[in-house]
Amino acid sequence: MAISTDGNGFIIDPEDGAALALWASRREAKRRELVAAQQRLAALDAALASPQASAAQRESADAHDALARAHAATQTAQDRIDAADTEARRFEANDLAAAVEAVDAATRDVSTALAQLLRDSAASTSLTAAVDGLALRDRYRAATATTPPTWDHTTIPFPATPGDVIDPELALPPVDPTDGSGYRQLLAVLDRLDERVDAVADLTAAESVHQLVAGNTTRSGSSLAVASEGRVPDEFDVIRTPRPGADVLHRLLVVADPTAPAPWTTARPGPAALLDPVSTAWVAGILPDPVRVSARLRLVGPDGADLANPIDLPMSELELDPLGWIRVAAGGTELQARLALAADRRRRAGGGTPPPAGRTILDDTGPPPTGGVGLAALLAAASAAGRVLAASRALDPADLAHPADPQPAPPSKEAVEQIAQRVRDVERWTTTLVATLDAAVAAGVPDPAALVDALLAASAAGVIEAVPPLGTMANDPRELSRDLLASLATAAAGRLRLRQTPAPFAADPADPASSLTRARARADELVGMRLPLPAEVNPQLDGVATADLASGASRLGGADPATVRSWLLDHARVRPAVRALVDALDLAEAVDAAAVLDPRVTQRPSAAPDTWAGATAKPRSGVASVIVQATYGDRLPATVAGLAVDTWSQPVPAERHDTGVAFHYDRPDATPPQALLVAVHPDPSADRPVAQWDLDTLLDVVTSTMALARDRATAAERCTTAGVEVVDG
Amino acid sequence: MRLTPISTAATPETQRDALAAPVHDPLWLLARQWQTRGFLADDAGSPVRVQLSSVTAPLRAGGPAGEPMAAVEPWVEAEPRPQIDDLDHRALVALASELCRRLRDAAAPVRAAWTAAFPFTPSAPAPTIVPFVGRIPDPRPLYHLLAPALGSDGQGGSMPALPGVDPAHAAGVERACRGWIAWLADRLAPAGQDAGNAPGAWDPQRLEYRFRLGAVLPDAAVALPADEYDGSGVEWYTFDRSALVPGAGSGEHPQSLEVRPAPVTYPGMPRPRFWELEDGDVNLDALAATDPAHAVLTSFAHLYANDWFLVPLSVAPGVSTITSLDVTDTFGSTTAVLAVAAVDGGKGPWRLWELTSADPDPAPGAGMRLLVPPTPRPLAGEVLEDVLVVRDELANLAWMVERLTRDASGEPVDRIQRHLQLRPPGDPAFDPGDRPEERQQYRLGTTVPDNWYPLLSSADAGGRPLLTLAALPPGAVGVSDDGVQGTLVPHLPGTSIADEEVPREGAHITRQDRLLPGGDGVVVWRSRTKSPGLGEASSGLRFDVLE
Repeated sequence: MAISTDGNGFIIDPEDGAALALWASRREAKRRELVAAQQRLAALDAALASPQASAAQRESADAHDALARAHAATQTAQDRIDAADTEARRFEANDLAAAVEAVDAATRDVSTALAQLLRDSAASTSLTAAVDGLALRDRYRAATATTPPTWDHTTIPFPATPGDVIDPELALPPVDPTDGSGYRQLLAVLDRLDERVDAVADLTAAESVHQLVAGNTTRSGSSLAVASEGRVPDEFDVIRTPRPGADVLHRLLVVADPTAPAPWTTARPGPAALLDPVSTAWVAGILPDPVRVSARLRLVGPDGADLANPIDLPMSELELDPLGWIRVAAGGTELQARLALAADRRRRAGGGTPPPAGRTILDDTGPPPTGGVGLAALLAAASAAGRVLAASRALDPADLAHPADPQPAPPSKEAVEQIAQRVRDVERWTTTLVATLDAAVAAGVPDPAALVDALLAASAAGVIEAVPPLGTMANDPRELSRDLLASLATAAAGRLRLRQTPAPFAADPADPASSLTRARARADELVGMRLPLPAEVNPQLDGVATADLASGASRLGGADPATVRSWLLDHARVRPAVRALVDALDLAEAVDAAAVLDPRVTQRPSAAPDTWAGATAKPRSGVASVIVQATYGDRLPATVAGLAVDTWSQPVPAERHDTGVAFHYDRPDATPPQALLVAVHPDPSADRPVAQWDLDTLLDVVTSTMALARDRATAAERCTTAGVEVVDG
Repeated sequence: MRLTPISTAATPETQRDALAAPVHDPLWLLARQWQTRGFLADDAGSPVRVQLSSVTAPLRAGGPAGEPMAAVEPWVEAEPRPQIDDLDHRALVALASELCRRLRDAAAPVRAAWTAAFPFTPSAPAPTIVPFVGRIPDPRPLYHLLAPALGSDGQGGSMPALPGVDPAHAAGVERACRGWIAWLADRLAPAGQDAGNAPGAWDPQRLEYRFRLGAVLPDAAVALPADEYDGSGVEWYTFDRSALVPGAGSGEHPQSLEVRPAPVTYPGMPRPRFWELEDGDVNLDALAATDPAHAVLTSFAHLYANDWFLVPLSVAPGVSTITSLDVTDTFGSTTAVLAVAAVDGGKGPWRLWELTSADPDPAPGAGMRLLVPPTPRPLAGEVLEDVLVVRDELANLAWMVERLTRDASGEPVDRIQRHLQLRPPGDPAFDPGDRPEERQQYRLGTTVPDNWYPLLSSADAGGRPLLTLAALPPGAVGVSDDGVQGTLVPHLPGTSIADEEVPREGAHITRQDRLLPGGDGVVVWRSRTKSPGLGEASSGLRFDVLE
């Protein structure tokens, strides 16, 4: 098309000749139409000039007039309407104004009420009601120093008569000595203030003296310094009544037979379990056997739909040792990775088509399988056992003895060497793991499944960032990026390499105690977590205590199992470590694990008959009671190992207060002489009777001696005589 | 007395000689004693014998007519024992575990049958409680079955029929159940006695304890009100004394004692003898240099140290009064030494260790002391509930802030962490900086955390200012506090706190378990403590905001 329109006009394409010809013909046609229209206009003008047309024009003018009148009438009517409307609006405005006024009044009411509320609030708030009490008290004391009191601007401006205005801003009641007057009530308040400031001053001085004579000169001075600033010290020792009494020691121990087999074990224990088989065996007793624990795992797509049938996986397939369960229960992604890996291996075990790619999720909505235990219970038990281990340290032979007993022998060098050997084993394990990781990285990750196992082993050694992202990114190790695995392995090997030492750990046979301390520190370093690492110890108990710790009726009064359990429950409310042990054993019993709460009690020094310190309000003072959670069968073995869970001393109050009454008595300041006076009778004659002393002679001797003493005190340069003159004869 | 010569020595050598106390011949020694007034005769003798009479009356619970008591704190502070139905899941698990253990002790294998018949299935258990669900018997129905049948002490009646009890084990089951009910008698309130959870002495408006003890002296009885006990341990200053009631006394004779007095000594005390060496560890003169208070203290210690004597006295806990103290000196004359309180009739200024009298005439019983039972500081457990009551001057309100409460399982709930986790994503407090400016909107008021509860100013019928717990309008709190509400300040309509108990620094109230030796072994109770708060706080609550 040569001519187009863009909405604003025509656009002509000059290249298109045919279209141009068409446009020219259209223009000619329009010109002809214009000429015809002009001719018709001329014909119409002629017709209008005719008489018929004039009549018609007049009629038209009349019609216009009529229309104008009608318009005028309409305007009048509209004006009337407007007037009426204005009138109506005026009335409406009045109503509105009234309403607005009502709203204003209501607002004022609200405002007044709010102001009232605020005033109450302000009146109740110490922020605005603060008065410098010390300054007020100073003014009060200045006023009452005279008789009658002086009330003026410098003190407190009580007006003398009701009409008297001393301070227009203070509406104080006039001086009115009658009982119950406002003046008397205020005076009572001021008296109380004076008394309280006096009390604080006394108290501060007493505290200062108390601290001074207790040897705490710093606290003595500081309490006075605080008081001199007009403040009150926070704490006063002087007013605290000393609470006399004696202490009874309680120890809560877990004692196990180190030679007894663990309730369940795993084929590939981690480094922590290798290092600390005693704690591992004890935790295995708290946890349900993972063979009995299963979890339902689903494989889902991005939309949450199942991609394969869910599988019930026994938790034993996760190959976690008891300490490993504590580790995964504390959080992190290791549990998810292990679950995904185990589920994937289970799905592939049957052969056939490999499972589709998806996320592995734990389905914990349903009940655990019949007779079994859910994963949540296993994790809760592991957390509880972890709390006990965190609160405990290794059992020491001294824990079974009285503090006043001779120090028991430390663990034997054989026991320490046994632990040192385990430390060396784990050192070799770490070296092997580092070599495995390095080799896999160097070879370009030839076997991802083996490398994932090594990474999980590194996680078991406390390198939690080594856990591969199984379960989320992939379920099969082969589906993970080799670069990712290599970087994880490099980082893990770097962390583990820091734990390696040039020489293997060696115990010093001459010093088993410090060797044990070093071994424990090295073990913590190797596994990245704190392990109690109990050594096998000889309990070194006498026959009485050994019998106490055997099963059966107790020698001690009030030490039957139910009473001891009740006592433990009571202390669980105030001792977190006791709470952790009781909770762990509650859980163990509920999930039918191997351990049960079996407390046995002994106390040192023993007496016959004897009552257990926990079963009486007034135990013998100085008694040490030992409560043992027994995991060793009926009799205490010759060699034990275990945990010291908690130790505390229980003060037993005395029957009476040892107090004193101090009194002031102005005793004479005279003191006995520093010299002994041996007097010889002044009469040397031989015929004098031997005992012929009289009071005057004696007095003369004493007074002359005192005179000599006075002379002795005179400085030589002030002596008027040449020297001391002794009258002879 | 101390000699402080004004030295005229000019050189260091002579100064040293002047300060030295050399020893020469006997005459020199006598001369120095004479110079230091060591031979000055006083018209008095040294005290050699003291006759002391005192009376001590044990403290009685509730007033003079009450029973004598061994320890005050458990009696005052303990919350009432709970009903079994009010226990949290954790406590129920403990009860059920103990029942199972008693059954195990009695070799009665009924746990499985009872678990099936009375399964423990609490609603919304915490992860720590989940392992017990369906694996232990619920102690509540068992208790409701056994307690009425066996009596509250487990010793009466006969065993009700229970499922799974083999006749061969019936005796063992009965023994276990009776023992369990008897054990619970000390831990649970009897059925039908729901006393709430507030201790009887707790004043909910003042958030502190208010109680009274009493004592019966030989010639009168006295009540000992304690109006403001904050739960931090009873001391003598916890108590006042009311007017004595003459004629209600026990008629006992005072305890008499005749002893030799010993001079009071203390570290740094000046020795009365010139050549006696003094303890150099405490130098009182070092204190005297700074301000008048120190100087006065030091002067007192120097001047009057050797005029004070001490008589040992062993007193049983209770209200104690020294009735007489007669001092006999070396010349045989006897002087009655009166307590200051006896001289001024108790009308003097406040004195340490004396009970303040509420009686307009304080003379009867003036000088009365109170020695609290020597109960040691109790073992205290973890804080169970933690509440702050604070002023918010900007919002013209006070707030009760529950910082730590317990859920139905008995697990601690950090309320502010919970609020931060649960608050809705649309909460403008999340990312105020990210909001586009053109999308400003008007809000009637901002939201506050669900653990902040407003306290509005109000007054009781007598005009006493109160702070009354109020509700926030719907929408002002984005998170529900169902199931985690605290109990220290009850969430009930009309709950109010006395205005003066919320000072500028606020108040801090906690709840925890405490344990003391007592009874048949130990006494455990749940107590409350009030301490100063942390200062003013602002909730950030604002009204009519454009944001």
